[in-house]
Formats: sequence, structure tokens, C-alpha cells
Amino acid sequence: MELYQLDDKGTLFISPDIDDWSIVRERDICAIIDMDGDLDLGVPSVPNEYLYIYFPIDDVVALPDLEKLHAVARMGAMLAGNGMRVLSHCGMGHNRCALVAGLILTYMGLAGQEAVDLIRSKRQGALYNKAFAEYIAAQPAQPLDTGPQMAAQPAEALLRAIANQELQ
Amino acid sequence: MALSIAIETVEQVQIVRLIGDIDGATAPEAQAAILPLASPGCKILLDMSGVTYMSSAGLRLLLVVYRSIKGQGGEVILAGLTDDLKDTMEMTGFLDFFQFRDTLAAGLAALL
Repeated sequence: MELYQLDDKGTLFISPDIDDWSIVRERDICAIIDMDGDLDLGVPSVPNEYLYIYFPIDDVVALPDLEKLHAVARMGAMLAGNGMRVLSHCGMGHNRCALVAGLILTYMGLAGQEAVDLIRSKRQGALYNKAFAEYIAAQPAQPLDTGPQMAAQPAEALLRAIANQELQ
Repeated sequence: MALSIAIETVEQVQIVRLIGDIDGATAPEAQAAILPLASPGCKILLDMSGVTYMSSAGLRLLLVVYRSIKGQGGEVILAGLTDDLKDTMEMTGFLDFFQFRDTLAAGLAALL
């Protein structure tokens, strides 16, 4: 099993099925988006270590539920934007994981076609599913405010802000 | 689209005709039909001319079949790949290790 790093910072990866968790650990990955049909064997269950997002979809010409897909992608971009390392994987590491990763990249600020080109340059044969590739290519850059400043805020300030919002 | 699988033997070559889509729903059935054919020195011809779509589950199937046959010292040839399938296999690097022929007759001739 090989991980394919997509961005220069090393916060976003794609891969085929995970058959060796030590590789995931070595890369300090903390969030796994599993797009394959079965739950991964040996998912670590250590408290506070991994986020495991399971969203199995089919590698077919039709697109999956776009609302859920974008929700997963936005979360991936938020995590990556906060410096956490995110791995999107499917069975072979070509289409489904790249669909999500492509959207994550658009939420990180790349235009859709740039995202497609980047993924294909990193992983031979990625996005050969034309429906997936065309969908990503059509997406605009839609960078999120990933809120590193929010992550850096002291917990007290954050709680105060939440309390203020609720009181208003 | 469902996948139809037909197997026939011509001399010592086992021909597997696949018609339809090979995807996550149909690949397990195809794998269950093809893997038992792998035996020491086997010669298997996969007729892909009727395959209309192949997802990554199809690629994984080919990988498993290839490893199983080669692991037993057998031979496998793909025949009749459509341009789309050939593109997919070329993009993903699969064509580098699979033997393929344009027609079933050419595949059969190569194995006999």
C-alpha cells in the first residue's frame, strides 16, 4: 500500500485500501475518509487518536449524494487547513478517494481543474472515472475560512464567544 | 447493467466471456467464477469485448486474477478491449503487465 501526498504541506493524501496501519501512523495522519465498501480491518480504536469517516460510495458514472460528499470534503478541508493530516482512501486509490480529495482541494483554494491536474500528477491513473473528473473540474475554488485563529484561541475565549452568541 | 459470464474450453485454453459492467456489484461474482480456473500452467483468455464499463472494482478483479494465475505459472490474455477500457488500463498502468490482443481469435492463437 502506498500513500500519495497531494499538497506541498503534506496535509492531504490518497491511497488504496489500508492494509498496513503503520504507514498511516508514520505519516502522522489523524483523519481517515474511507470511501470503500467495507470498514477497514484493524481501525485503531485508541481514544483521541483518529477521526474515521465512513462514506462508502460506488465507482460508477453517477455521482453520489452531493450534499454528504461536500460536507465530508468541507470537513476534510477544515482539518487540513488546521494542519491535521487527512487521508482519503478507497479500494484502488483511483476514483472515489480522488473525488473527495479533489473537492477538499477546491475548499482549500484550488480551482477544480487545478485539483484534477494535481491529483493526476501525483497518482497515475487517478480520476479515470470521467463523471468524477468532470464534476471536480467544474467546481470553482471555494476556500474555507479554516479558522486557524480559532484553533489557536484559548478555550476560555472560545467558550465566552459561544456563550455570547447563545445569549444574543 | 448486470454482468453475464460464460466459460468455455477450446483445447487447453479456458475462455471467459464477460458481457456488461464490471463494478462493485458484479466484480465479486466474476471473481468467484474466474479464480477457480487458475491452476498450475493454466491458459486463460478473458474476452473483454462485451465489457461496457469497468470501475476500480474491475481493475482490482483483474489484479487478483492476474496474481492468482501468474502465481501458479499460468498465462492470461485479455482480448477485445474497447478503446475506453484500454485508456483506463493505460492510465492506471495496468497495460504494462497484462498481455492483450485486439480480437478473441488473436488471443486464442497466442495461447495455443
